[in-house]
Amino acid sequence: MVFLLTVATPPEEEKMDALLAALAAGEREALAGLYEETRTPVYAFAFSILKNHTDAEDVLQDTYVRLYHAAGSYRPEGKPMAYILTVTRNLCYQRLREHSRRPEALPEELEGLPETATVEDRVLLQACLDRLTDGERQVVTLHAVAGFRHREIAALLGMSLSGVLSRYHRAIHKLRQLCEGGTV
Amino acid sequence: MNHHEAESRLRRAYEHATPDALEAIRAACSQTKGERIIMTNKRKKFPWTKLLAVAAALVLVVGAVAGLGMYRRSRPTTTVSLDVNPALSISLNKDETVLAVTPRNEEARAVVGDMELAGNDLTLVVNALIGSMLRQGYLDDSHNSILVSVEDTDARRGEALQKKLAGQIDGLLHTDTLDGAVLSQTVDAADGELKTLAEKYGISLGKARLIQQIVAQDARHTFDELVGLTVHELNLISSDGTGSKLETVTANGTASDKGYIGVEAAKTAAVFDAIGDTEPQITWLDAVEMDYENGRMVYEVEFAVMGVEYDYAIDALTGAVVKKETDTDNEDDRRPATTTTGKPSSTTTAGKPTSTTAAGSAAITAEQAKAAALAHAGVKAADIRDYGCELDREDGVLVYDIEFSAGDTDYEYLIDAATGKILEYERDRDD
Repeated sequence: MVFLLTVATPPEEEKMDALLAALAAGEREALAGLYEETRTPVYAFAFSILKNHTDAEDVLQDTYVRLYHAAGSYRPEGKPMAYILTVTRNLCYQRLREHSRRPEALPEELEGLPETATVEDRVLLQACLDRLTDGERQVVTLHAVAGFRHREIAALLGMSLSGVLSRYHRAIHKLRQLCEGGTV
Repeated sequence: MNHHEAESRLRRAYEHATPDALEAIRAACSQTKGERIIMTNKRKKFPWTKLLAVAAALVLVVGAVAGLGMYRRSRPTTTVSLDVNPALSISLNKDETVLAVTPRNEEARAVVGDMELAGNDLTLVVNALIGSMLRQGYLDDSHNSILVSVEDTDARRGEALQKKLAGQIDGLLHTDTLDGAVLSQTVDAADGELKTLAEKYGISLGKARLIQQIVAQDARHTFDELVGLTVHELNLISSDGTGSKLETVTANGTASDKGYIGVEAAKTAAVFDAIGDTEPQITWLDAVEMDYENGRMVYEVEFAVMGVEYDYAIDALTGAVVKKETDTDNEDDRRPATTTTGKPSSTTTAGKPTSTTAAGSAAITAEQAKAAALAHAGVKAADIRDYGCELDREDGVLVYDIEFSAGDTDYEYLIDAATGKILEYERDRDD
């Protein structure tokens, strides 16, 4: 029997609710716990929108600072991860708006990736930038990394359910080709 | 390889790519200990020399007439107070030489640091203090408001100084990343009630006066409720696109809302909550303004669609719905309003359909694209279900990605958003 070891699993809802509540109660250590639980989905989602590491890293930080300061106003209704990623999403859109006012577009690059990223990882992430459309990349990232259901993705991205489904299938199809084709 | 494995690979790649930013986050959070400030651009520090270049800041200048006194060199004739989050007082003599600088809170102490300011000219001291505030991040493009109050034994001199200071600080804080406004108002320092309020809450006379004005104008607010807000937040809730709403306050420029999600995002959040992902005709009933409700800064979004009026308060930090009111009204025309078709336009490529022609986006509306797709498929709008329309980018071309089902067939169309041409289509019958 082959045992497939996955490095990360999507965060657990109850744990996050508890952490957010603790943060709201003023427990600053909760921030570290929340960060550890949710940093990969937050970074990944930001990266899938902004398409470069530097800006994604900025939004990663800004998300938690904002969560920290807005902690008092968090009400546990709906999914905590959706709440967190809504903050991330809005920060990304804000950044895109700011960039659209200036002539140069956002760089599409992986510059600055930490050493933990292997060559394999880089090739895969670069392929995500090159071969997936924006919609496909965002949908598959939310599904794979944040563990969102298609309906939840639709709500977060403002898409129709059928739109999410078709993008997801196309993205997975392309990803499988990339992984199998020996390019990754 | 199945899709689980492909997802695992992707997840692993992202896991490895995520930087470790916890220390930076902690630092950013504790930088504003005890205050509700978000420093979103911590990396970008303003060089001191640049600050003295062209600038504009938000300056609330309050002139006051204090008691009487003899005009002697060492006798303070004037007090200038600065409020941002740091709060400090500068006492001057008639020659505008600074006699003392008194910090009134922790942040002000940080601003003053170990600068020896007494004995210098007011202009120099103001330069130094503003520069310090900018360097330490108390003033930046997300928090561009500063309150300046002048109390003088001589009313005319006080007003002149007020004007001069406003001009000086106006000129100080204008860089390509910082924009600001100048507010000016007069206050009577002999106002006993004001003094009591200021002392009770431990705030400056000028800030107390500002809050007093806001409360007088809007009965939904209480003094108590607003005392904890920063000068910047107070400015945001007391001004609109055209300037300050307070009669006694003159405003130049606007308080920045860059620390928040922005008007467009707030509009999107409200519309999406009200009617979901459809493309109606929206009538905006009022310009979006910021306010303070339920303990947080919000955007007030009011609109009408399909005969129903909506009044939303959207959390300005997170986009969550704080308050929602609807009013079913079958009358079509009320006050004059701006009308846009479809959802507020977005400059992102996240796939939101838009039918306004923002620069560089679609020339064909989503409605037109839909009509083209339906016509090609030979189906009527009334017969379709599960309709979805996204604006997407395929190989650099802006397209409408349209999907719908009719009968037992699923359709998908890619339509060039600039020309309306059908680029691709698929028909998939259920079997």
